[in-house]
Amino acid sequence: MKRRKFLQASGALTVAFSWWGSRAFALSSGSERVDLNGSPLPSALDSWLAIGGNGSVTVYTSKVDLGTGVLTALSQVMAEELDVSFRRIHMITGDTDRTIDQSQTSGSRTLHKAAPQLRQAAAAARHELLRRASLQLNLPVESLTVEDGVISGPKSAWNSVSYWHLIGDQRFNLSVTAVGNGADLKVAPEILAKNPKEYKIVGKSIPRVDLPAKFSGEFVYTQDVRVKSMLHGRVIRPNDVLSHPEFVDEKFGADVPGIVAVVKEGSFVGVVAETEWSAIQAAAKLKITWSKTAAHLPATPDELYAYLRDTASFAEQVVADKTASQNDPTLPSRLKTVEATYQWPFQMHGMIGPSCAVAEVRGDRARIWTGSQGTHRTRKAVADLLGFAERDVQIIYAEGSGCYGRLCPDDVAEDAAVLSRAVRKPVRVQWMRQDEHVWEPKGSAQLIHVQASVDHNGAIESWNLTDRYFPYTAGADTRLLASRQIGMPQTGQGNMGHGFTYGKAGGGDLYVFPNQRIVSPVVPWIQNDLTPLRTCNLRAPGALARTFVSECLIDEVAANAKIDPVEYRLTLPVNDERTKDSLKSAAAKAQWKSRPSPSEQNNGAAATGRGVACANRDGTVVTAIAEIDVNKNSGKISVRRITIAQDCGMIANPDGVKNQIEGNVLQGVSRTLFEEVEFDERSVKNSSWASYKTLRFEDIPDVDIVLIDRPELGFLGVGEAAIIPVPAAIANALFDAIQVRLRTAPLTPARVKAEFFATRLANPKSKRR
Amino acid sequence: MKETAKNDGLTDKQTHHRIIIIHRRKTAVLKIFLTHSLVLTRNGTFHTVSCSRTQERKRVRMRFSLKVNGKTRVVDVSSSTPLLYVLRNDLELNSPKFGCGLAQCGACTVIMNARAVRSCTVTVERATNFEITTLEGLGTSSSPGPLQQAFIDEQAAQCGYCINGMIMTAKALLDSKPNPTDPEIKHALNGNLCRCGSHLRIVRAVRRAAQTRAVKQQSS
Repeated sequence: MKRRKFLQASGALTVAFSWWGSRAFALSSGSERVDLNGSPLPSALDSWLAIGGNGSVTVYTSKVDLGTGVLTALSQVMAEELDVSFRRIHMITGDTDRTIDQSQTSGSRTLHKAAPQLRQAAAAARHELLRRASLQLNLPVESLTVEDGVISGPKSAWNSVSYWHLIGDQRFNLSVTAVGNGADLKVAPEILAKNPKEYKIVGKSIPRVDLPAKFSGEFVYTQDVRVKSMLHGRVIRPNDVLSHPEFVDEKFGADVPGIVAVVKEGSFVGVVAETEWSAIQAAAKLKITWSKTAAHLPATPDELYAYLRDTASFAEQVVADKTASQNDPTLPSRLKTVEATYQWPFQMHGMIGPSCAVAEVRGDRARIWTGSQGTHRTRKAVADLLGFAERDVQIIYAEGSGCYGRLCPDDVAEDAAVLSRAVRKPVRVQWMRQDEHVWEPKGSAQLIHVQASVDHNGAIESWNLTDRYFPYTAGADTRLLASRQIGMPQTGQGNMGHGFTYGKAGGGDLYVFPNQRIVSPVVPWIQNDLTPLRTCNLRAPGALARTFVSECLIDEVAANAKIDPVEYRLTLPVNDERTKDSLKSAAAKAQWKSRPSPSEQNNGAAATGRGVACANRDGTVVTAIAEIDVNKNSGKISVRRITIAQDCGMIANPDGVKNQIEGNVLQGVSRTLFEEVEFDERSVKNSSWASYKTLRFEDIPDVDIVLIDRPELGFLGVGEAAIIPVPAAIANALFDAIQVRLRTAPLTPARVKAEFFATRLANPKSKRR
Repeated sequence: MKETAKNDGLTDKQTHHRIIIIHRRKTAVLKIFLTHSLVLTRNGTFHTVSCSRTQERKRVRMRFSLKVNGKTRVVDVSSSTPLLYVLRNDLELNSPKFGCGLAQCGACTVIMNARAVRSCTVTVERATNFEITTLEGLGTSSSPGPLQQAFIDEQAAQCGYCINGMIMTAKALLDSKPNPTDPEIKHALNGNLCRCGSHLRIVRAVRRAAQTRAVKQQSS
């Protein structure tokens, strides 16, 4: 049990390991239990869970809690299936030596995909425990019941035996069926799991297990991991694209107390010092001359969108391509075309706590603590960089700051590894705010064109949406920063190969139109070069922008036909009728009064508006209704209230779902109103919070929530559904208030004001507004 | 220093040029050694290890006495060190978090003489004359203080990295204004950033703490 101590002892500040002692334990357990890379095999039941003699159940999963509370929900699923009380469950997460690769934690898939894997493993364990109890008690399995880990026969407590007596601290030594891998792994499909109708723990708002320690400073984040003899490192990166250090002051260091080393490998430059403050000062003082590079990036937003528009795509994802047979030859002449182009900027993940990792590299082995979404993937990157076998690198997840996309906990793991290797001691590296702001991979900019042909009744005959975006240049199979700087050869094409990384939902696929084409051409972006404007997944990749476009266009068609936008949507043919249920629930909760947009009440400087939008994220359907105030003179939008009705199938923890929805909505408001990465031809301009505004307390709306529970559908995921319709709902509310269709995000006061006066000039009839 | 280069785990797969400059501190005097050596790695490439000549330098560390959570703590650090790193690394009080180092986000907030202060921009030298309270001073997970309990009751966090700043700022607010309105709570917290969108719950938690205190005072 030595190896399990660290994560269980969450209060411990200093992690004291006997070096590699725990690893020897892992490997001595028999090579048949681990795969070639040293991770446990999914076909061994012992890889999934262990019953402790002290009445605990330890569950192993590569899924990690990114601060969303998902481990509490997973613990509920395990406690439920095993029939033990919730407090008995301990989770070991994201440790490459101890957990099966169930794929990275992203895309609202933890409960959707990984929970069934874990549940089936639990069901298999319960099945085996009942079998053994049946032999021991000499009673048929069917007559046995389980309560909090105690298996009892029909008559009395005399005929009972507990899990802890049956197998406490021992292995099951049992094989289970395991087919496929990652998110698609199927575990013990032949075992019948508990009927959801009997659920007592799943569906309850059990308080999160991690919060009390987070509210008292006891919780150990990556940033708080300390190992013996640990030194502190900082990396120094250029501000500009492609820049490399032409000169590094080798004599440096005499006036910086506590400095241990300056490390330069290729373009990688870092410092190591005895204290964190020394490392920070050393990094700031170290003289480096960075090479001047030619202009590389589009210099302004206009140039960026022109680049997206004019550059030939290298791949094209077709989400829908359907042409109806033309029954009525006069139809085209009766149709009216509505068309528009929308612009969505690069946006940041903006972690509050900059990326951090602690690495201990000794000889040909490495152990690294980091907050990566996918520790198995990070292991591969670090092993490649160090030239080690994957099984000789252990990545241990320690929760960092909430990140909402693949981020720099991967990059910083490499940084720490390089510095630790250089000084042969454990090194903790935390990025500074500027490193994080400039070098984190960004959510891609998007340029979306949409065209709809509508008949005089407002029925949409044809729909054509083209969403142009960039592929991930910091994707799963591209090199991390240190590897690139050190000059590791690129791995293939990265995601440039296929490019379809920015999802596909939201482009009008909620609805069924007779002619419907939704395509995403992927435009090449700086891939192999070192640029601070890297791209990767940002919460609900691509779907915010696509939904912003499609749901605003639906709203425009409804307004043109002078039909209430909720009623209009209810008349449209949809792919999933649950969309309409969520629409009705949201409208009822928000006390929506039927009338067409725009509102006729807004004669003064202060206008109010309301807007609606719908979305579907892998089966989770959600409707958002926004109510806003807008000042015509300043252009400032204040979101007063957002109402969400969400159907995410089965609900594991209602309060956890509400917490996620609130977070989604507030982040959505922030991205709609404030967020845009600024850059020029060489560098990212936002180096701190001073120049990248996000939502603050005085900007927050109220959030009303309706949860639609459909246990029969299983878990569908809640991590990134409710954020998707927020921009469109707010933009539609803006039109409702002041008849302005703003097609460029974020909806800043300057843009609102400019568009308002432009609209008023173009349309003098509305001058009184 | 040769020994460093021989054993530093460099693998023969690497063909790049690599320079390490190493300085070692010995007690009060910083000694810096000079050697230049080319070390042959297993695959026949070289990497350079260079260090500069011995120098003597004055001790820059000083002893400071801090009053933290009601106890006097003595630390031996350089006088320019921001309080944040002293609390975290020397006193192992992990609640204040590094977020920006620029007093922009509030993750590092502590209370100094009843005021909420960004510990990333206060030097240890300046902090010596104050009564410092960190989140650890308000209670523990097994025995939380009233404000911490209100945060638990409202489940008022997601990742929780910012939450130290939220609770400490709220603590300073409630101590000076026991019954704030919602706009006053939002105003007090407006300089604290949260990325997960826990703002609504945080406001509810602060409101709950104020109400609980009011009820307790009435009944006592």
